[in-house]
Amino acid sequence: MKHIKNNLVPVCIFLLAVISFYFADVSGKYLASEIYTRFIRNALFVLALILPISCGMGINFAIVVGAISAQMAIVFAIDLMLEGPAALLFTMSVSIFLSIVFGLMVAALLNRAKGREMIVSIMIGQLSSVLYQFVFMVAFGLIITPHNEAILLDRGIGVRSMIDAKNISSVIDGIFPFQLDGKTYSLFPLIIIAVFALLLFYIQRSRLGVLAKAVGKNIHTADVLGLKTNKIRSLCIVISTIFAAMSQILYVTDFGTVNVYTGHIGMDTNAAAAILVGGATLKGASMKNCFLGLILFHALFITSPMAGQNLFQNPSVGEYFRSFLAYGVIIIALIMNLKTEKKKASFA
Amino acid sequence: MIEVKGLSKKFDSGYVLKDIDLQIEDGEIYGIIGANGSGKSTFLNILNGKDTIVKTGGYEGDIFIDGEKVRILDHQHSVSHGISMVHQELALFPGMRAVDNIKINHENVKWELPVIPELSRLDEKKNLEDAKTALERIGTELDPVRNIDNLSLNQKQFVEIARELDHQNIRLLMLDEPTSSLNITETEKLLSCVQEIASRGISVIFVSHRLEEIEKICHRVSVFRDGRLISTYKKADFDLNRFAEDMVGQKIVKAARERRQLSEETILEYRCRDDDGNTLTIKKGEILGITGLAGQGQEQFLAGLFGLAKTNYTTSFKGEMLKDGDTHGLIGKGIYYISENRGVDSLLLDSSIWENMIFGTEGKHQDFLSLSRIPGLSFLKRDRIRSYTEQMIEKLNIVCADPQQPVRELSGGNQQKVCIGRALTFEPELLGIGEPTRGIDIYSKELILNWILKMNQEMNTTVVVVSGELEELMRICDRIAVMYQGKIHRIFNTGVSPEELSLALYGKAAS
Repeated sequence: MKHIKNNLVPVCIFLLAVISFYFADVSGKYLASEIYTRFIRNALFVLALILPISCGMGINFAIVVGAISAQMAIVFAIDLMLEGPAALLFTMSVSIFLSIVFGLMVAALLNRAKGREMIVSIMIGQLSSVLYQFVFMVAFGLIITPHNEAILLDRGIGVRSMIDAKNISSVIDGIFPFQLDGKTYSLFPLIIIAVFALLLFYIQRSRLGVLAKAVGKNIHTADVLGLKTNKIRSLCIVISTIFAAMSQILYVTDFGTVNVYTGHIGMDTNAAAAILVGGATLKGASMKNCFLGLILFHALFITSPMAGQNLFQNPSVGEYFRSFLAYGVIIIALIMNLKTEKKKASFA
Repeated sequence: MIEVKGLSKKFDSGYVLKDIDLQIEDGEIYGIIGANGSGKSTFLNILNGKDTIVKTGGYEGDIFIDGEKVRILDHQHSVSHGISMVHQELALFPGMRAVDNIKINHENVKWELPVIPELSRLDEKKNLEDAKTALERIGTELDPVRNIDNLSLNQKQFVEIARELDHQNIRLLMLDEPTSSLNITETEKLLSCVQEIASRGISVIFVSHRLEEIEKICHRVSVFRDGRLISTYKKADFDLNRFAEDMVGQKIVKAARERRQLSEETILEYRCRDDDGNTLTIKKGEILGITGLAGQGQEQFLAGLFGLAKTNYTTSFKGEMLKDGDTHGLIGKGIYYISENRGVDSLLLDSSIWENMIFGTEGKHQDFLSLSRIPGLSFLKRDRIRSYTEQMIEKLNIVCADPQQPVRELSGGNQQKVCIGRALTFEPELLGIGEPTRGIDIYSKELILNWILKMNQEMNTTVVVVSGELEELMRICDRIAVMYQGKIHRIFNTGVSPEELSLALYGKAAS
C-alpha cells in the first residue's frame, strides 16, 4: 500500500493505460511495436532531463536546443550530399559540437535566472526555435551557399520543409533486424540508447554526479562550501543538450525524413510528460522513472485516441484525448508533486 | 601560529571591522565574543574567503600563517592555507550520505580527467576510508554510509566537523556558534572533541554566545564591539561580568525613561502552550521591550500573532482569544505590527510614499474616500491624501523628492519612517515593532525612538518593541522581557543594570 502511495502517478497512469488499451481494441503486438518505435525515438530526450533535475534546475525544456543542433547537422549533411556511415558520423560530431556551444549559451542564461529555470528554459526553447527557422527559411541560399539544390525551395532561398534523410537512416536499416507485428525493426538504436544510458549511469556516479546532487539539494550550502555551482550547472545543461541532439538523430534515422521546420517542436513537452509519468519529481529523477514513464506514457499516447474514437464514435475526440494527455499529465504530476513537497515541508 | 594585523572590512555604509590585531598559537582555543553586529561573523568570513567579503572589495590588513604573509582571495584559497570553518547553520546536504558530505569538493578520484575533472571517476573505497578516519578522529563511530537525514543534530554537527578536519593541511578550525542547537550532553561531547582537536596542534577559533562554554574551554578570549577589538583576557583573568560589560559598552544607559505607574488593565496576554505558568501580560499604555540573543524565540509574539513566524504562545486581547495570522481581524481590533523585515513584510517597495502611507487605512480614514458608503468601490480623494502625506513627510522628517517617489528609492531610515507614518495613520491601540532601528543611522534612530515615545504618550498607544538593541530598549521601555531558549526568562523593570540584563540573555543571573 505504501508502495502504491509513493508511486501514485505511475500507478494511476498504468490503470488508465490498461483501460485505454481495452477500449482501443488493438492487439498487444501492435502496441508493442508502436511502443518500440516511440521508445527509440524519445528515450534519450527523457534521459536528457535527469541531470538538470538532479542539480536543481527542474525540467530542462531547452532540450529543444539540442534537437535543433541535430536538425542543423542533419540538414548540413544532406546539403553536403554525404552518404552512409560518413553522413552519420558527420551528423553526430557536428551536432555534439553545436550542442556544446548552444548548451553553454543556455546554461549562461539559466545561471542568471536561478529559481526560475523552468520558465526561462521554455522561453529559450521558443526563441531558439524561431532563430533556427530563420536560418533555414531565409539565410540558406541568401547568406549560406547551398551545395545541394534539391533541398532548396523553388525560389532558391530557404530549405524545403520535408527532406529525405535516407542517407543516414539507411545506415542502421540492416543492422540486427528483428520482426514484430509483421514489420522489420533494427535493434541498433536500442544499443545506442543502452550505450548512452550507461554513460549517464557513469556520470551520475562520477564526481559530477555527487556535486550536481549537492547543488540540487541546497545551492546556498554549495556556495558556502565553495563549490563551483555555475560550472556544475553548466556541465549538466551541456550534457543534457548533447543527449537531446543524439535523440533527435535517432528520431530522424527512424523516421526517414527531416521535418526541417517542425521536427524539433513538442519534443520537450513529451519528454517532460514521460518522465513525470514515470514518477519523477521536479527535485528528483532516476533512470527507472525515465524508462517506466516512456513505456506508460506512450502506451497511453498510442491507445487513447483510438479508445476515444471507439467510445464516442468521433475521431476528433480521440485527438483531443492525445493533447489533453500530454499537457494534462504534466499539470497533474506537478500538482501531485507540490502536494507531497508541502507535506514533507510541514513535517520538517 | 596565525596572526592578523590591522584587519579591517569596509562596506558601502562604512567600516564593520576596524584594525583587528590578534595572534593565535598552535593548539590554542581562542574565544571570540560580542553582541550581534559586533563584527565576529565578518572576521570569520574574511578568514574563510567568503563571497560576501570577496565580492565587496576584499579586506584591508594582513594575515600571517607561520610568519608568512598570505592574501585570502576566495574560499578555495582559504582552504588551501589550511583554514576551515564549521557554520552556525549546518552546511550539510540533506538526502546524501555522510561520506558524500564529508568528502564533498575534495573527493578522491580514480583517474583525473584533464579538461573536465568533474567527470572523473570517484574512488569510493578511499572516500569511505577517509570519512571513517575523520569521524574516528573526533571520537564518533558513525557509519559513513548513513544518510544525513537519519542522523541526530549532534551527529550532523560531528559530520560537519569531520568534513573540515578531512582537509589534509588543516591549521585553523573556526567554529561559529557550534553548540547553539545542541542539548547539554551533546554540547559536552562537542566541547571535549574541540579540546581533543586543539591538543593535536590545530588552532581553534571558537565563537559562542554561551559564555560558560567560552569560560570552560578557551585559553584566551577577545571581546568585539562595533567592529573593534575591545579587550583580550587570558584564562586566569576570565570574569563573566567583565565580558558582559565589555560587550555592551560602558555608556549603555543614555537617558533612562522616568519610572511611572503602569495601568493595571491588561491589554494583551501571552500564554505558553506547553508551560502554563510562562505568561507575558502587557498593560495598557506601557512600552514593553522584548529581547534575547538571536534565535531565542523573541519573534514568537507579534510576528507570530501576525502569522510571520512560528509561535508557541497563545494570545488573548482584552480577554478574547486571538487567531494567529488573522491579519485583517487583528487590524480591525486596533492591533498593528511593523515587521523587522520592513522591505518584505511592511512596505510595497515599488509603490509611492503616499500609497504606502495609507494602504489598508481606508476603513479608519473615510475622509480619504469620495464615496465613503461603498468603500470597496470608492475613488480616492487624491488631494486630501496628498496633503495628508505631505503633512506626515514634514512631521516625520522623511527625506524624499515628493510623495510620488517609490519607497524603494528611500534610505532604510526613511523607509522606517514611512512605516511609522502608516502606523500613525492607523492610530492603533497596540503597536508592535520589530527591530525598529536596525540598519538605521544614529540621527534617524533617535527620531524613530522619539516617535515611539510620542505615540505612547500622546495617543496612549501600547507599544511592544522586539529588539536586540539593549541600550535603546533601556531608554524607552517601561519593562523589558528577556527570552531564553524559546521562553520568557525574566522580566525587568526600568533601572536594571546592563550587566544583569546581558547575563539574563545567557540565561544567567548576576552573582
